[in-house]
Amino acid sequence: MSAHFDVYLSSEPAALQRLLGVVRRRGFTVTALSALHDEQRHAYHVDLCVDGARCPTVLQNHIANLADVRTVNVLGPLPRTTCA
Amino acid sequence: MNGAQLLIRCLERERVERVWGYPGGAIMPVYDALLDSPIRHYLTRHEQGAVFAAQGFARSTGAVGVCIATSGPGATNLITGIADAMMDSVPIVAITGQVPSTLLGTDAFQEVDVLGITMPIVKHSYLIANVDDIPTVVRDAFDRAHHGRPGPVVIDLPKDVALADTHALPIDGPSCERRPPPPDPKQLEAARGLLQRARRPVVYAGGGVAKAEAVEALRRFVHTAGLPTVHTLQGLGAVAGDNELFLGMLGMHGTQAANRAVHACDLLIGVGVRFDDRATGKLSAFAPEAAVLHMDIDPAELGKLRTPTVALRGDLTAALDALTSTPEIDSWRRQCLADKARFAFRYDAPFEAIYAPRLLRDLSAMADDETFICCDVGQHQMWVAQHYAFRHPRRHLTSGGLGSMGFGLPAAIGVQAALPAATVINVTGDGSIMMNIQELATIQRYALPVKILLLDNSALGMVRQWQELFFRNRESAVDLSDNPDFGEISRAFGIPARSISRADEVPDALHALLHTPGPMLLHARIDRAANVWPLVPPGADNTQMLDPQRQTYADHNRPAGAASRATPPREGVHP
Ligand SMILES: Cc1ncc(C[n+]2csc(CCOP(=O)(O)OP(=O)(O)O)c2C)c(N)n1
Ligand SMILES: [Mg+2]
Repeated sequence: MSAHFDVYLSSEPAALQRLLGVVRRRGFTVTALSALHDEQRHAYHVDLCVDGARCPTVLQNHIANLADVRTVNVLGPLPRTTCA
Repeated sequence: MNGAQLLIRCLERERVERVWGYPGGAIMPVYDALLDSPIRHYLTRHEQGAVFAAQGFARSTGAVGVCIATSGPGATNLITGIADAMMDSVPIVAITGQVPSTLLGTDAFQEVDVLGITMPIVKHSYLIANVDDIPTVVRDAFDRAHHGRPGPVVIDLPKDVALADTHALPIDGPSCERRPPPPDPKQLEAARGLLQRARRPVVYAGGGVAKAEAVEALRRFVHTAGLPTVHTLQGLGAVAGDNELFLGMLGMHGTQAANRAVHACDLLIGVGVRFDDRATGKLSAFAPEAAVLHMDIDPAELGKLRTPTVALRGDLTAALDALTSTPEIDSWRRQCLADKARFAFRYDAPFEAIYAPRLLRDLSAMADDETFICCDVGQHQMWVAQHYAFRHPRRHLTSGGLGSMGFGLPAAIGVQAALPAATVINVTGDGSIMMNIQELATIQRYALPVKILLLDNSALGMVRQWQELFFRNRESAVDLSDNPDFGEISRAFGIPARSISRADEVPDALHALLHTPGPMLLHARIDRAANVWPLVPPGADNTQMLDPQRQTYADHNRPAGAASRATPPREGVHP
């Protein structure tokens, strides 16, 4: 199931690594990624597309749990799914 | 003041009174600063001992445990304990020394990428770049370890930062307590409806209950509605082990009554649980007819493995207290209690040899309610879970999610250091005790009256049991018949020991263990062939329990018939 996320991360040294680590560990692969450093907001703005067999809403919750994550939104309609 | 001194002042401000650790080059400034602090440092004899002791403190008290290690091997020796804390949501702060900032990334002596290595097993981590950041990092670390779903936090401190001069001061005042958000009123209404309509509800409560300080609320909820209740390994004691409504632990080594109730229920009320595979068995066949009401503080758990019919996120006490419906479930309750009586464990073993379940049942009856049991991992751990009637989850310390052998002894040290008057018992196996046996020196050095109950089956028993059942009894690397003399080892560390091998010796030996002042090792030789029953084979659903005791109880130590009924060996099964 693919999903498209829009993520704002505090620009801490390991923030991007943490984000990508969660995506991999939770069973998704990255299909597209762009990250821009926004100096004024001291943040990375990440545009992230992923693919995986599991429920993207659960991934969204895992991403939101990361300390560096300020916001994580789903772009486009998230497929309605039973997650189990 | 330098960075290390500031760090210690900050720990004092977080009301840290004791830390466990092991010194080395990169962390030396911190050890120097500790000399001028009222914080008591306990030297363990391995960093794994330090992190498990910090966990023991944290699991028993609910406060944040702190451990300290040097860079490189010191830090890597912490890894198992940090991962263990992550899996079981235990609040600890691990402080590691690091090579000077200028050497980072140069493969310097004792440099490892602590931030990188620990990333998947921490709630959060910091590599401090600027000495003036220490107060905010420490405050933030303690906040994160403790608030929300608890977990481990790592602070990596380069030596030059520790030695740098600073005028920064610890953040004033204690960290403010934050209540988790109250449950959503609409979801609450939906939950009340589910409960009111339910005819066969079961409460499935886990480690999150005690972590949320919701034990009393759970008990009120269960009692008011008269709800049959099962616990996960981490939940044991939330509803007291001798409560009539408590059906036992569910899952792989759960009771028949618990697993049957969950399988037949029409409403599963999950409280602080994560639908772990050891609890659910085959997920698609878990509580197959049930609507699910799932309450947890962590939104990432809601729907992770089972889509809830209704999810209540946030404050468990508020949620439980708001669910006041009393469904009409008399006949269901009677059915559950009849199962409980029908499948109750039996302890009338007719043998001369020590029957471990009976010994643990006796210990449970003899020890007072405030006794702490710190388990290791293996058959003995499951026997404790099955046969010891816990009265509070914080009295039962066990490595559940990671299942780390070697956890129990240092965890007991952590509890005992914080609560010197408490009775603290490490129940261990002959395999597990050897994983952190060096911590007997810590017990001796700090005169900690830790009791050790060693159930010695001359084997890595749990693995042996699985080889017997699922690998055609082909024993591979599980024999420990050449164990050292555990009594002699204990005495060499200045700890008195007693050895028993007959059932009739048990009462007196347990009395001595509980009432001899100071530490003691009770070495109990048990039958090598004894197995943990019942057992849900890997991949099976929870109703497919192997329970040979039911068929051939008199020969209970032999798994008669079990091998033929077990599923064939599968790849990837692991005890
Ligand atoms: C650090 C670690 N290594 C390996 C295992 C796999 N394992 C699980 S139980 C067990 C046997 C434990 O033996 P013992 O402590 O004697 O307990 P028993 O099962 O005999 O009661 C092993 C090796 C583990 N859980 N932890
Ligand atoms: Mg053993």
